[in-house]
Amino acid sequence: MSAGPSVNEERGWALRGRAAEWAGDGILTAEGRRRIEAAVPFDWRVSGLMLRLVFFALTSVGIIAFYGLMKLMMLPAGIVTAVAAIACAEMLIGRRRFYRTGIESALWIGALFAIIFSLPSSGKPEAILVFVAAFAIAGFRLRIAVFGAIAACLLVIYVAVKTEVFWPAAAAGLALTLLASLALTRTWRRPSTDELFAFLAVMMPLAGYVGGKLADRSASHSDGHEAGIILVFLLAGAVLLEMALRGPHHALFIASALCLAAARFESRELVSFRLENELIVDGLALMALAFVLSRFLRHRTTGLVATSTADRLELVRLVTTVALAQAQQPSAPAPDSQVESGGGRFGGAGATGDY
Amino acid sequence: VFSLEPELRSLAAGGLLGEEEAARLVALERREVFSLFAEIRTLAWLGVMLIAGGVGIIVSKHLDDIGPITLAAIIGFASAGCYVFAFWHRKRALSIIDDFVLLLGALLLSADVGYIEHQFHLLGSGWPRHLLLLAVLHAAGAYFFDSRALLSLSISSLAAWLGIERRVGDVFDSSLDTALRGFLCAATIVVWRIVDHRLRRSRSFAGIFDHFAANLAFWSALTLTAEDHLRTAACLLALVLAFAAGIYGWKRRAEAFVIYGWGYGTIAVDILFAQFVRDEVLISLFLVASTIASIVGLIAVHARYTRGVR
Repeated sequence: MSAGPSVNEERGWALRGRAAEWAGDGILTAEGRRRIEAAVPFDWRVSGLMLRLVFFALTSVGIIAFYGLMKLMMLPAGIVTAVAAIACAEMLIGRRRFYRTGIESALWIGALFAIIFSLPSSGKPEAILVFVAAFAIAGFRLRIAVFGAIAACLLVIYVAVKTEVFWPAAAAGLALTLLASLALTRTWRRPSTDELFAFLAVMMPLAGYVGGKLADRSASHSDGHEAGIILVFLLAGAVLLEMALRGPHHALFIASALCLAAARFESRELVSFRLENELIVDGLALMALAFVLSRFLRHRTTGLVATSTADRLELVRLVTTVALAQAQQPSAPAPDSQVESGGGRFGGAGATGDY
Repeated sequence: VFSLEPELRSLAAGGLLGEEEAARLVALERREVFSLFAEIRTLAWLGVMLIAGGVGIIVSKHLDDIGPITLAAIIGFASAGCYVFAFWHRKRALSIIDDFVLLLGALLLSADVGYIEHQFHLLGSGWPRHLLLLAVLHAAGAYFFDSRALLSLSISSLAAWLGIERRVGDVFDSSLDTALRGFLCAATIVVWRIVDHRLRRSRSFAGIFDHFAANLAFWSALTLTAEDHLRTAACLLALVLAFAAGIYGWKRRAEAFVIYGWGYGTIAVDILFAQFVRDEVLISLFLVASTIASIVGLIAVHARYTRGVR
């Protein structure tokens, strides 16, 4: 039986993944990739992202069905489901060497959720802490960074719900962001540890800002602290950008961008521009920034560069663009002035209007 | 951070990596060379989405402030400007954000065509045909600029056109007709793909056609299951499609289609079982069993598939 991949095994898996990326980017030859894979055997069963999501979804459906079955059979559904799912997950990890397949993670988190849902509901904010614990336990056991980051996000939401004031949640989010970012500046042996801090750095600014705003809204008051929020998030963004420039890490650039975006979003309350004008101006600014960066970096060969790599986000962008376009497709006939006025929508492939 | 430098050095020392190759990879690990390619492209794409959203709001809210002809002309010029920019840059080495300028042009064109049709009723009662027009225009743009993004917009406009005609005609207003139109759209895409395959040397669009056609066909089959009297036939049809997708994915080494086959196939089997068995306990039991069977089957197929690829 094994608790999971050792440090060396995890590093070997990361090396194989990196070799595949380098081969995709044309930095490493196919032969070089084969040599690396031969030199670093990895006998754990892993899945690619898409398959992992499918396995996670299928396993979740199975757990829900099992939980329902236990309920129908008048058995203690929570405990039985949890014991069965955890036993199954541990068997798959220990005997079948499952790691990052999506199955063992769904079994673990499903088991903990089954226990939670079988408990009587208290309706208190502290219930959030139970979910924090579930994600933290599953994340720690399986070394899954997303679970760890979700646990931290829920913790920030708990602070927001408990205090009903913007700053405690925002401060918790930003503090976790800065701590995770500092952690990213040192070298970690396990790739999963680096991944956890990267996810925390990226997700915490949003959790802090959104949690804070929710707290403000639930208290149905706003004490006019927009300028302070803008200043703090600008400062955090600048600090993170400085850190990213000193020791480049994609997570630091993204975290910095998110802090700056939060500051920009907050500034809407100070200036009374129309939404559409803001969108267009912001869009133009982003495109201009992208243009300037691409021109500035295009001839550079060391440090920060803009070298083409395999476009791994293309599919996400295509799907999102089409989904947005579809969401905005006309859903009712266009108004005919002789028949009716007002109502209806028009547009298509990404743009529309409502009347 | 996390660095694989020690492993790379040891591979180089063992002669498994050339010195130059190892030095290049070590530089990447040390972040002496760090590409912002993904970040820059994401910035540009977000910019395009924000602008398109803003223009959508403007054309819907400020007709009276600006005037319809002025507004149509401004958006038209902006769109044309984007296309001219893309055309200008077509022959040169592609900059990393050029294709997003083209995408912006296409989205502005969509807004403009929709707006003009809405405002001036050029197509009369056949107003939804502006979506067909957009499908054709985006397709032409896709082929001219070899753009997968524009092809996706073209196909989504085509699908929207097929859906909207249903509402206008009001002849078909049921799951059956939604499904039939979905099948029709999937079939059109398949024919389009065949023509594209015969007449064009590049295969850059094949994946887009395949994914759209497969998902439309599967969703149509599952939509058909909403019809009580057709449920069994629809499930069997979905199973046939799942089998075909699996075979196609296997032969073409396209893992996604194998996954589609298993995923949609499992849903079809579950619906089929629930059609004939009404006992909740048995249905739950079957769901658990079918899920486990599906997972085990997918693991086995994936393992064989991975070995086959290697």
